[in-house]
Amino acid sequence: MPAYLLGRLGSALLVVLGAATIVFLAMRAIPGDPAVVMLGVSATPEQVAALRADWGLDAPLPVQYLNFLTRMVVLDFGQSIRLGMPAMQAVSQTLPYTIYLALVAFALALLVGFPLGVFSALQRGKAADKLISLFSLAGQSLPSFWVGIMLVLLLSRTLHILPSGGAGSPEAVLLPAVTLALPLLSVIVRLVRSGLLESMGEPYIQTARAKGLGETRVVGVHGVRNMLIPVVTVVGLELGTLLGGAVIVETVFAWPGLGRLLIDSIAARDYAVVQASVVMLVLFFVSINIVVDLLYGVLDPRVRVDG
Amino acid sequence: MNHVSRDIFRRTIRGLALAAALAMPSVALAQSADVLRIANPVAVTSLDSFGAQSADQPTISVMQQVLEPLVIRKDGQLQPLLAASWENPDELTWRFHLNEGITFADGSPLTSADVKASLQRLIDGKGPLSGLWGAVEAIETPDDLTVDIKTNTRLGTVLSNLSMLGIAPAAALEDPNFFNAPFGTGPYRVAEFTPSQFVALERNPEYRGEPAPTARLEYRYIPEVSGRITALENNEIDVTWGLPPDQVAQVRDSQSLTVESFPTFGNYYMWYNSSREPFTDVRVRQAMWHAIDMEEIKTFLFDGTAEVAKGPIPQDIFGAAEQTPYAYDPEKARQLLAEAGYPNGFTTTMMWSSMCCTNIREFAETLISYWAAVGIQVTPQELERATWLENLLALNWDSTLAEGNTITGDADFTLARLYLSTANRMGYANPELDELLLAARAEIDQDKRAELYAEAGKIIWDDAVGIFPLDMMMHAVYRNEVTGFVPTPTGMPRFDTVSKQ
Amino acid sequence: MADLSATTTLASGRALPLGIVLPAIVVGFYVLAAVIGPILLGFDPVATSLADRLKPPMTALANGSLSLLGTDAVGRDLLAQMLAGARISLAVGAATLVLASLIGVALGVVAGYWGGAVDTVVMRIADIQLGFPSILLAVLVAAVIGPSLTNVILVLAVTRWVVFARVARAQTLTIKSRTFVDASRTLGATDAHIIINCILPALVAPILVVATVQFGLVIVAEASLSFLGLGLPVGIPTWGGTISAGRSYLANAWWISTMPGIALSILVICVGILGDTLRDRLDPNLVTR
Repeated sequence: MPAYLLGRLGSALLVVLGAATIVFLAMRAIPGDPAVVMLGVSATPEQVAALRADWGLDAPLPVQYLNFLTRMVVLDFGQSIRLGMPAMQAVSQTLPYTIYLALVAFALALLVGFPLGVFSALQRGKAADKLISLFSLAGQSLPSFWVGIMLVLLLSRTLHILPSGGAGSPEAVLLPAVTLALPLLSVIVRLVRSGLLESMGEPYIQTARAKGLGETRVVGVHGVRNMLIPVVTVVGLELGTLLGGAVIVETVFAWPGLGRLLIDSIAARDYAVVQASVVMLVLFFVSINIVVDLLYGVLDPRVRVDG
Repeated sequence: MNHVSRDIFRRTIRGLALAAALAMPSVALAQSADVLRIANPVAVTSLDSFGAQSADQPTISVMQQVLEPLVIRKDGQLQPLLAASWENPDELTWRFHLNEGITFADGSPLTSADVKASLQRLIDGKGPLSGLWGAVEAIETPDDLTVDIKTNTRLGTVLSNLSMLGIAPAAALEDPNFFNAPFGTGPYRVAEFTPSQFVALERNPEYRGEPAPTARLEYRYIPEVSGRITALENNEIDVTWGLPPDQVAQVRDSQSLTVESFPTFGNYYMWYNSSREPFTDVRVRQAMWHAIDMEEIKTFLFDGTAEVAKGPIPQDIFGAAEQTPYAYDPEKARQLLAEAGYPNGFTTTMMWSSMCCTNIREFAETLISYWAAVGIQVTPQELERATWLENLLALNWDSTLAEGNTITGDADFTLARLYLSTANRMGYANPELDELLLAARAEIDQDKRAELYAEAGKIIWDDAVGIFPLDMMMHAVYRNEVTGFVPTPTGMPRFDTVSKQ
Repeated sequence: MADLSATTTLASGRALPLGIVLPAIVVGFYVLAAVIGPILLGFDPVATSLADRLKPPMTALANGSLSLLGTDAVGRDLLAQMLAGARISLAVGAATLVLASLIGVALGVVAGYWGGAVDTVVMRIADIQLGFPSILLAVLVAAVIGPSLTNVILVLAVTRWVVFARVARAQTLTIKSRTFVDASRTLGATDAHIIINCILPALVAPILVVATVQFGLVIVAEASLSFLGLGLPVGIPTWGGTISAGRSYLANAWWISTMPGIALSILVICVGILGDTLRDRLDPNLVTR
């Protein structure tokens, strides 16, 4: 177990390092200069050079890279040009919004997806099952930015029920959360449905039935417990995707999270913040993957994580 | 859904969401006459008006109510504000006498040291406005209420430049956290600030004048136009601006909203790269201008809410002079092209920044259609702002469409920064124009300066350095209960006179 | 023949179920519309008509024609724009999948067949990439190389090759250990011979299924890039671009964002049903995500 965990951590570190390198190089390869972006149309070469020197961007690339990596170890990503604060502060101001949004979406997906999946399995082959299947397929494949726009059009512009964007009021989280939840919700519905159907055919379910247990208990206790493993795995992995999807959803709904910060910072060529947010996102992503792996072992003793 | 059930639904959702939101950073939900809820169309990323954001409209629009300048531009005239008077003891010195007895929101008195520290910080910040002060040699403070700005060449733009410099307390400027909640001598001070999201201003208790009618201003960033309109209609906000011109008509129909449209210091411009074929030929540049029906664009694309330009900068700017618009005349365009040796037109490109301004893509596509009609094939290049800027400065383009805003209200800001051949912004070099612009900058007599800019403007116009299609209007929308809104041509509305009934 | 073997596998047994026929007809209709639509109703990005701008569906335009789905912000017909967009979206989707599957299959087969260091390196790169939100990768790469048709295809292919590589590798491992492969090896067949004659044919069916499932994802990804302003350049009509452009006009012209979105949705749902059904029939255990 410790050996496995070490290996797992090692590869996670590799992912983070890879991501950091990619983002570092990408930002410098993108056309456009942070000093020019800040100075605008009237920028003179002297002004640009002075600013670049102030920010240490005139140093050779390897020096900048090493500097970036060594400071990254203590989560210091330098100063944000655009915001005039440490990049990490900008990230920590927006990250809670993204996590909050992701958690609400996650909760929504679980609370709606799970019962819907069970219901769908129980109604197997009937009209309701087919309808739910179609819905979950749609939820999985529709582009979230369009779903978001349509939700705004319907619920906000036409019915005036919910605010169309921002985080100005508590209910503002609902539209982005629903949009973000939809793909995950659909995956859960399908997994729960197929997992339940599969386990219903297993011998021990027949045994439970034969023992005279009520159908609710059979399904509720034995069936559900058995299909938790694939659900947890996929759901865990999807939580990371959820964070990635937040980039688009936050743009549509002007949600002040990390995704928006990232997009805005790329536009401003705010190197420090782009690097900080990507590294933090990836760090989050790999942590979830590790937790999911461990959880997997706990849920199913047959899985030997060192195997 | 009828009104009652919708209301119940809303309240239920709000209750549920509130329960879920307990852990979230609190954002004031206050909804009373004492709070004006403002939605800004562009995010306020920083309140530091001395550095990177010194020319940033969202930052200035908030900070102009917090920090006050020595002189202020009102109704086209520069008037004393913190300064009582000024004089030029010699041609290289501007001397300002501050008003006595002005205090900052923390109770400390305004002195010449504060002015010096503020100007020095702007220059050291190396931001976009620092270039205006390139000629400054020394800032001296002979006594507590006197400031001397010494320059190495004569600088005629000191007054209009100063109108963009809000004065902050010198001691506080040393504090790295000052700009989280800055204060100055203005009617408001910053109470709360979350970058890119939320700014709250509250009355400055030390303010010497009439207290602002509204106790608290709350700025929320809502980027989407439809989002802002919806929020207005749903009574989530009281006022917003930056509406695209073609959506104004629809808002005008609304019973609960008032629209105010007024001219600004902003305009569209389309530059030719005059160092590249075929734009080296003035006839080609003029031909492309004659190919455009500005009136039709104004009527349909801008719903009539813009002005066909009468000069390279809008008419309300100091130094602007009226020119004769280029007539829409495709025949003449073809004829000029033929004279220049392009009877069958030519192929070229036009770039613009996707983040430039409302309607930019529609505007560009329309222009391209007009040019196609006289045989000029223009390939559109919509670029990210950073990429656009890089190409622009490298003169790596054929033509470009953009929006300009002469925020100081002084022709120098646009003409002398961009059209000098040394700036080399659009490959156009004209010694006569250079001479006029430099003479105007060095002229201390403001009336003479205006005359020089008028001449410069005529050269730019007649030589068709670019096409100057439309001067933009600003459209502010507020709920009917809002009163006292005063239009500002800078395109940065202020709310220290606004109240809610 | 590789193609034949795939068809026979798919068509084996009973008549094709509704789950294949119906979505296949719809997808076929899209392909048809993309091919001949722009010929019937041409889209000229330069042909703007200010008097006709923001007209709702079923409006008669200034030139006497009827605009079935309304017009956009510069008075161009939305339907014509969507037909031209269908051509682009389908072409981008197909080209991306061809490229991604070529890269993926090549790497997957090499990794699976020879194993060892190559296998470790390829699969580790795949793992790293999977550990990185794909939209993030697309955003970064797209920002670096700039907007153009080929670049968008490249960006999307880079984010998709991993799935193909994994399936190809898994399949190669299975086939490699089959007796007929051992037999041909004993008979002196070269590696190239084995790969071409034994492994690649067996890959056709699963790769086709994966491609079907990925097709919808790629089309949505292309639209998302266009939506973020990192997709195709202005002047090339795409569904994502049109949806994005219509966003500013939700208040007074809902159809601009709505119509291309509906077209996109119907397509990806049908492709999704198709992919699911094929997967269930062929190999329920195939990992396609």
